[in-house]
Amino acid sequence: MELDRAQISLLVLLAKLGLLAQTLMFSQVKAAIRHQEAVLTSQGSSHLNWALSFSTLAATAAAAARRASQPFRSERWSRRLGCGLQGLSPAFGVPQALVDDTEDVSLDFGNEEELAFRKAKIRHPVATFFHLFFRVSAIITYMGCDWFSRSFVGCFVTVLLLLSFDFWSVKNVTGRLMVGLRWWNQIDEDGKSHWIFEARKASPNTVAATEAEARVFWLGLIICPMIWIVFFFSSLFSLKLKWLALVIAGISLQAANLYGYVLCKMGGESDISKITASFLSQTVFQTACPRDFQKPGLEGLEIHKY
Amino acid sequence: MAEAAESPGDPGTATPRPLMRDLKAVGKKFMHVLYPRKSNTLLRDWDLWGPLILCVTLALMLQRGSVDSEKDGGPQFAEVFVIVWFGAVTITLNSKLLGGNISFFQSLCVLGYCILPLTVAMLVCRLVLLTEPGPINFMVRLFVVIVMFAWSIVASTAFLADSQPPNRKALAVYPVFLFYFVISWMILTFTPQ
Repeated sequence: MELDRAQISLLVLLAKLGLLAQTLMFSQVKAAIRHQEAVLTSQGSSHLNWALSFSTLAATAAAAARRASQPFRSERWSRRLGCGLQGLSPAFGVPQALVDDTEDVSLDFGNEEELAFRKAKIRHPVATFFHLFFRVSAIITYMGCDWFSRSFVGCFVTVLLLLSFDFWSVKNVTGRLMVGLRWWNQIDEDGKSHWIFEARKASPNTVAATEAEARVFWLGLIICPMIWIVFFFSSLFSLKLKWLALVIAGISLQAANLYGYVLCKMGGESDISKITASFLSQTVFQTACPRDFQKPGLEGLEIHKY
Repeated sequence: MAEAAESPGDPGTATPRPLMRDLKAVGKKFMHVLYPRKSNTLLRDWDLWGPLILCVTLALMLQRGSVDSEKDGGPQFAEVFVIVWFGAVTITLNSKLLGGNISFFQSLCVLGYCILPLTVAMLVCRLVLLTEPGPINFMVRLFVVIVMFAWSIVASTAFLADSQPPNRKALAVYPVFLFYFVISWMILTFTPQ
């Protein structure tokens, strides 16, 4: 086996990119002080340029994460406990649109960055980028294995690493930041294991998920496992069985995240067809931006359970 | 799924889970395997990242010189992978069917982490194989593999045996014994090209 030098350096670069992004986001979240900086006034336009330069990404990520730490502190989480333990079961409902920000202008004076944050279509550009980056590059690497190098092992390890990074980042980072959902497993004192699924309740203090981010999140979450299932059948029927282990690992990792987040989103709803219908209608038949709707009207649609 | 608990100290922030915390948890579990003690850390906060790293390392080290040739007799990379994970899943199913009160992922976690001594044995064997072949070479490798095999068994039964009812302990431990035996066998019979 020997990994090529190029592949080793690619692996190292990917790992560094991943770690750097995480460090940037988290170190800023820890800071509790809001700085009024000149760079923040230009955030409105730079949000849409996130793909262009990494330095802009870093600055935007730092500022966005700092902003993110503010509204989330006082939010509420509503929880759906798995395994038959019914407690607080939320209905998250459809993702709410951006809050009407004309209300805020007259009341808050030092809040330009809040406004810029709320106006932005994509509030967490780094998280959005990495949500898609690892998944898509795992798929591309798998498909391009025969062209990049002859080494089965190098390709296997690279794809597996990318899938692991993707699993970790989607489960722990992008789900929370982009759509406000999280899930995990907890073992209590008796040794019983509970699966816990939570959805963040949108309240007037917090900003709800934007539609663009929610759409990117769910489409990324759903399409990639389907592509891996296609790979499964293609490797099965073309009898390239040594790739089957990798494809099965890929399917299980991605399907686990999908399943976890679907359960979070379902909350109290036990009827999955209703959820898919509402999701489809929302993404396909999206018409005018609901920014024109006033907040009180939207609040009527949310179902808060306690 | 690949790791367990949120700490209860996150009262509801949406801050992303820190990477360093997960890495430290993995490192702590490695220490627990190397010095087996009666503690619940491996069981309570399970995660599967350690087993994944160990499995990949072991499979990489069990590779021969020419990767894709069918002529060598050693296990291919994917075979090692499949043996480790499929074996661990089978043992877990067995222990659950025997009435153990350990959860699926906890058991996978323990079995995966207890491969660490055997991975160390593989490393040592590879180093020893750099010297000239001969009976002394083989004896050293045999000794190292036997010691590490015993270490793995002791470490895993320290965690797993408690979860079984008393009259079933031997039945639950026997597949673990087999599992680590197969891996030790692969390590011992490995000869690079």
